[in-house]
Amino acid sequence: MIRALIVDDEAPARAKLRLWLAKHADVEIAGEHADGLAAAQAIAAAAPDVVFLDIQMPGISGLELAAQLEPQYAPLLVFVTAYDAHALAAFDLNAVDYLLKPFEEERLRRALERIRERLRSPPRVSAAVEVARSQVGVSDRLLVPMGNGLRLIDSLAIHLLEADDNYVHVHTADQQYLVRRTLRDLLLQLGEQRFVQIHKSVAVNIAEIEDIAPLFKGDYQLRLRSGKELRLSRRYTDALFARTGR
Amino acid sequence: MEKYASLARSPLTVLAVLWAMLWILVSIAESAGYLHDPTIALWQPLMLIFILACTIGVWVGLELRSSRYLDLPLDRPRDWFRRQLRRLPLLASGYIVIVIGGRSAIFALAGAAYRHAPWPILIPFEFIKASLFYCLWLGLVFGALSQIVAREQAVALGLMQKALAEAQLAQLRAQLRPHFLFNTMNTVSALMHSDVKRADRLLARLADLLRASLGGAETDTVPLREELRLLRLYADIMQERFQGRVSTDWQIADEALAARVPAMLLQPLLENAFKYGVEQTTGCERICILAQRQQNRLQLKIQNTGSMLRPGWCEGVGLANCRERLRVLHGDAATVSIQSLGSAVEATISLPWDVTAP
Repeated sequence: MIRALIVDDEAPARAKLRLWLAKHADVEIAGEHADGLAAAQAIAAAAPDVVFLDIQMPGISGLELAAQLEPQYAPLLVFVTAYDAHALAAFDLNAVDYLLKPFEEERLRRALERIRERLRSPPRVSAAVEVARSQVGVSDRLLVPMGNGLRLIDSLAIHLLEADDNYVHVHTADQQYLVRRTLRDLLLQLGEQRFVQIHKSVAVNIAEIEDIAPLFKGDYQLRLRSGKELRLSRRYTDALFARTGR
Repeated sequence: MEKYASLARSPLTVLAVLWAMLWILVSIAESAGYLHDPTIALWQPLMLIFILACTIGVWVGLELRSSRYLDLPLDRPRDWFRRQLRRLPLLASGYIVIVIGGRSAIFALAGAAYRHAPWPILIPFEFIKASLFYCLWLGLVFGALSQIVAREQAVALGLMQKALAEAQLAQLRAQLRPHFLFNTMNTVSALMHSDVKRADRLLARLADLLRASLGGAETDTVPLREELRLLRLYADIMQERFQGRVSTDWQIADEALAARVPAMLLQPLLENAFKYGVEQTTGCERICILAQRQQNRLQLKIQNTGSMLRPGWCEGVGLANCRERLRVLHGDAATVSIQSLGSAVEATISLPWDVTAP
């Protein structure tokens, strides 16, 4: 069974996809959502096999949403859009699936065939997420879990990222969120111009660094504006000093 | 005036070549008169002509630098020739003085006396010769310049036509954005499976709107009644797409319906109301369209909930387009303003009251 999620802010567009997907016996509709945030929660909760994702949506666009997913674990994505010349060129280049509105049933059938094929082959890094990231650029916002749902936080409000097994603790001034991502992947998404790694498992927002003081044996003590003190590992000193121009 | 730079350069080259050819002709004519005279070496008349060509050449060159040749009206040949011929007496007199003085000097150098026809014959003869050469020169210059200008004009015309076509296309794009068009088609395509009548009605509205946006010039005005009819078509289509996410409220004073406004003036403002108010939010928003007469002015307002003007926002294409069209028609007498009203945004247009059809 292919579990499909339909995400589009226009009801008639959802109705059309629902109608045509229902004709395929091996497709089960795992849910329908009208905005990006609800879709992100559904992706996390229901782990669908494929998401039909409209690009233009309120709150968080389809591309922005895709950029928030981890390439290794993302479901298959089929972007659905009316007109987006720039993104389409990138999709074509990277063999990312998309449907152009209005599309005919045959076109959806072919997309489903490709999806079946992809689901049979071993899982791989999602090209769709990579392309979405290149289109969106450095993310200004990050999706984080909050209670039973998700919320978007401003990425500049993040002070500190702390890796913990397969999770990352995301610290802001007054909150802490636990995100199921790798530190490496989060840094790629948030931009290495803004965040710098100071330890194997710790990265900080460069703008939050207050002071750096030398310790013994080439290590440094780093103080954030919030007053928090952290050890700067020798391995990462050069990279940090190059970035901060000290 | 960047595109005329090549025009100013290329004629100078052409004129220099013509100039050289002309003086080769003059040299032949001048030296022919001395072939029978063994006391005069051939280099002497040629030297004279060379000096003459250089002197007049520098003069004409200086004139060209002030681009007097280029500025005269080529499209009125009679005028062009008349204005050029005005300088004939001066040029011919200079020519005669230099030629006769030069010849005397050459003969003196060769140790001979300059024998010539009596002055009353020599002067008119040389004058006619100078005039003929000058007219020949003018003919060559006129032909060369005309051809160059014609070529440049053809290129400029091509560029202008291309720019015009692009501008018209851009206007169409601005009026009916592709997103709107394709999304509406998708809605029609979806409705066909559930409600054929509604799909049909939506398609007819889209066609109406498209027709209206394709016809008419920038300066066309229509009664507000017609403008609102198109605006309602657009609003109906959008409400079909964003079911349950928007309600519209039309507060139109009856007397305002006859007032004339530029065609499709309000369209970009209503588009903005949907784009920023409805498409960016998940709740149900309200869009209000108001029209009323205020003494000798017409006031139009479009308000939408669901959006705010962020600090540092700047005007988009739609608003700028609207402003520009009003400026062309009414100058400073029409105003466009936009302001935040709590959690709503209001765009206001005020223009002189006018009910007369053009």
